[in-house]
Amino acid sequence: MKHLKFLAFIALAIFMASCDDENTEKFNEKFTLKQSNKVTNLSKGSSSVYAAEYTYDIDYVDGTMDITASGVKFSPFMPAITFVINDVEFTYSDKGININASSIVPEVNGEAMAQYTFTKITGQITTKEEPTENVAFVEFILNNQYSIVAYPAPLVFDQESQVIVEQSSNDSYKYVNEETTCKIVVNEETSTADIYVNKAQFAIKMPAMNMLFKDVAITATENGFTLSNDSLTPFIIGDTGAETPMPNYPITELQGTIADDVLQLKFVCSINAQGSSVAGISYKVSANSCLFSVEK
Amino acid sequence: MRRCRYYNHRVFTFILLLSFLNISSLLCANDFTVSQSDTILSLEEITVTSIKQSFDTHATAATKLNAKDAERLNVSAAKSISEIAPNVYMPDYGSRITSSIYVRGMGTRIDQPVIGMNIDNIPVMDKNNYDFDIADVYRMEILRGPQSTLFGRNTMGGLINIYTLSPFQFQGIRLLAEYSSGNTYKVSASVYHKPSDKLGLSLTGHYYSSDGLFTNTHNGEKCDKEKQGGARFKIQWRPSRNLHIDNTFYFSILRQGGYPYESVDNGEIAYNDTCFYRRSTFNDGLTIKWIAPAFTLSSITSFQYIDDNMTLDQDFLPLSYFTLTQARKQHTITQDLIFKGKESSNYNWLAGAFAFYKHLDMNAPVTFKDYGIEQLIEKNRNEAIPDYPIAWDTREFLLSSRFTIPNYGLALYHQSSYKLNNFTFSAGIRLDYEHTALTYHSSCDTGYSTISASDGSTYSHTDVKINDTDKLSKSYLQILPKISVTYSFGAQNQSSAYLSAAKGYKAGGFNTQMFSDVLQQRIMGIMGLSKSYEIDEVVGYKPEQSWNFEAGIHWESNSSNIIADASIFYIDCNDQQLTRFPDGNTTGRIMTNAGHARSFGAEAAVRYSPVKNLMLNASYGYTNAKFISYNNGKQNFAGKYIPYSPANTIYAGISYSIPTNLKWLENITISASTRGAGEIYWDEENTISQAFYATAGASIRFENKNCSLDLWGQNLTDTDFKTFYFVSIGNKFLQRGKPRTLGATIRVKI
Repeated sequence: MKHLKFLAFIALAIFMASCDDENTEKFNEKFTLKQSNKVTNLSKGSSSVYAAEYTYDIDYVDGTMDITASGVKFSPFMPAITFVINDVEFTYSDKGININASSIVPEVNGEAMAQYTFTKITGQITTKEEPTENVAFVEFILNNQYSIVAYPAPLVFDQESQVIVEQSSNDSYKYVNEETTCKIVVNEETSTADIYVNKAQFAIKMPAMNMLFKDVAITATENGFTLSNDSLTPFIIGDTGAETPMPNYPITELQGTIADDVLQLKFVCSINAQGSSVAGISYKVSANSCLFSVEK
Repeated sequence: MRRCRYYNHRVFTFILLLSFLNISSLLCANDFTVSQSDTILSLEEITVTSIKQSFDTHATAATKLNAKDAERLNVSAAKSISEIAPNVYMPDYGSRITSSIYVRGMGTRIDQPVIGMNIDNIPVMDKNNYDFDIADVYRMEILRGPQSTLFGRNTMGGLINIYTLSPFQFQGIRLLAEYSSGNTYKVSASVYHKPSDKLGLSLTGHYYSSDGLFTNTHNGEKCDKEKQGGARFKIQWRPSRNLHIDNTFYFSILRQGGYPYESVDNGEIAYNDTCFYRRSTFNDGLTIKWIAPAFTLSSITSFQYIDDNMTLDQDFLPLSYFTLTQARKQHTITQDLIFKGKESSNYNWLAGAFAFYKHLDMNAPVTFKDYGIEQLIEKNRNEAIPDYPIAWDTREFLLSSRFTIPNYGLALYHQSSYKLNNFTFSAGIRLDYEHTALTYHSSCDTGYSTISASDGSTYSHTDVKINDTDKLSKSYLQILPKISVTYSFGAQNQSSAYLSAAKGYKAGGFNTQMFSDVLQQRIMGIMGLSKSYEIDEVVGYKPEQSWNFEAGIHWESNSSNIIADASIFYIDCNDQQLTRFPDGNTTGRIMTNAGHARSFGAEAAVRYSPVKNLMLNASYGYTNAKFISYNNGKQNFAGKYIPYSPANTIYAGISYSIPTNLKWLENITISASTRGAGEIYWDEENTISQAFYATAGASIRFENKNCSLDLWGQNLTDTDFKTFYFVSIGNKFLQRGKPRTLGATIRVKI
């Protein structure tokens, strides 16, 4: 009995020591992310998208961060500028960072620009093992004139995913898939986006495929973005990035919206490959996915 | 005239054999303790060589065979006792690497076994080493129900103890020669010598060769031919009354074809690529026993080495899909220290510590061949995207996988028993820790071109280069208790009834066979078809745990001419480890933890000797083993029978010995037996099964004090039955049981 108690004590000591070993604490962190800035003129209601770069310099001890935005434009005729907003307050949990600051005067080249004020600074950052893979979503208002929403670039919708697949010719068919994810790469200059649909699967026996929809029209709106394309030929993408067109799987009636951090995407995929067991069937796909998990 | 010559030939042969018996009877004999007749009433003699169990066997369902039983039933390997022990089923299929054992509904076909094996108290740590011929078996015990408290890992279903003849029990020379169907012959020679009262030496050698019974119609050759040889050297030293030192060194070499799997569609065994199994193994076990006034301290140390290679035509068709090799080198060290209190009338105790270390290096390449590339890769891909088909760079490529698996374990255990009048109360507990790791390196270097079907031009070329390496590890801690109560009764308390509850445990680990599928999925991912498996999730499997509740009775008549055993049991099994083939055009089994299963049943066995020269044996086992919950993500198997385990096992035998009163021919013994098993379901869906079947055997033995001649037959009715079923790449295969086999065995003791 004494021996058993001693062994139990040793086991407990080892367990507690291993718990301590896993509990590492962060003090500060700094990383730079490419992001897509959607700028909305609040008086005109018009929106545009521009590429930008954001650097986050985080002090976990202090609970504040400095955000440096470079390549920021507010109109197509305006040159890109770089500014810093300092001491942005945030809270932190194992789910990520929540940004919430009320009013900050930015700095340009180290000098405060008192004529500009950023308000309603909110956002989320999900940190990953590789800082370059962090996902940041920040929005703020400039002088009550412009709304700026900095989206991650690319937009990776892989949280709370659900894809519902129905058949055009069979009302009773319904296949639900929660593995499919979407990545949207925005080309701000051409106002188009490449949509990567990973693990696309329309039937239980269909192998999951990595598909690419190229050059889908993307329009910035006050609430986010809209996506649309009447007809396109998808590509199949391998792990090495090799693309192969799939003309036997035309995509039609593609419609999508991005509002806040939620993507809703619909399209029809027709199977025209004669050798396929599902040849002649059209699948209506409705996909929903988020940038961040629900528990924020 | 022709008929006359034929009969003359048979008479001449018979006279020759009798002459042989007559001559050998003149040679000196040095018997060991077992008497010649099958009517021996000392079948239940207890050997004290079992270090841990001498006071524990009464609360366990057990089948015991002595040397005479082993000879009569032609038991030379563990598989031979299938069905003889009730609810124990060891189907003979594949090759000697496949030691699949099912006990009371529990079992597995790969990786960890459900039943342990000890040979002369040395644990055999690798199931791939369970199936080999053993010469001079002195005693075999099959204990059913968890033995995990005293023996730890992989004894959840029971334990097989095999004891070989000791030079202290027999001195002289033993020879055996056997010939049987399939041009099968076996020879063994043993020398037992006792230079002094303190020292015994024995040297045993054996050789076995068979041309096989099943033909591969693709090349017209027998596919299950086999050659096996080995030797055993035993030293037993008694420097004093209180110190026993035994060392047994054993090695064997096996070269075998194997895998006579026939297609369900056409009933033919036909495959074009090589299948074989080769194994070299050597073991050394050192047992030291020190008898102190108040206790006994025993140390059992072993070193076990196995070097084997299994190569398969994995599709088992005359088509070049792909081949698999699994080449392993494994070193194992075990150490068991047992403290046992001096046997007293009331309280007895045993405590011990066990440790082991296993190191396995495995090379498991898969070679994809022309037809496999065409059908499994190109066809699937090109049907999906016919406008841009692919063409592989070569018509054969290699998926390479190498593994290093170190595995160690530590355990402490204790068991106490207290006797109060006719009751014996026993309780034991084991704390068992195990750690296993897997380092893998998978690689592949090939590629394919994507063609534009419209004009035949090359659209693109894609390299398929894989070079994955990673390390995984798992640790398990188990507490394994057991309690029992036994009531002894009878004129000499020779009978007993018992109740017991015990926890069993089958170790977790890594399923390396899954890597060929993982690599296949990696290739599909490179082609744009996402992988289905996450290595960390699928390769590893958790331990299997069970609780066994049992009630039983051992009854022996006062004259010992009737010995009967009966038991009923209920087993509750969590995270049951089950092998299944994944869906779709893939092959290679996977292990899953199936959820929750239960098994209940009953067993009975009886030995009856109504008169001195007549012995009747019978045993029956019934098992009802089902899944309580098991959903593999696509199908729900709750309520289905657990596959590969028979619902019934049956054995019955009769043996009658006729004394002739001749010096050169003392006895003629006629024996007949039947054994059967079934129904056996082959899949979780319970859609295909082997119905109950029975086979008949018989023998006639001519013997005197020094030698014997057995003429025997097995499966005399040539019953057609199947021992195994599986699906590979959508094709169904079965293995037939062995057909009628006839043989003759000569044994000589000098």
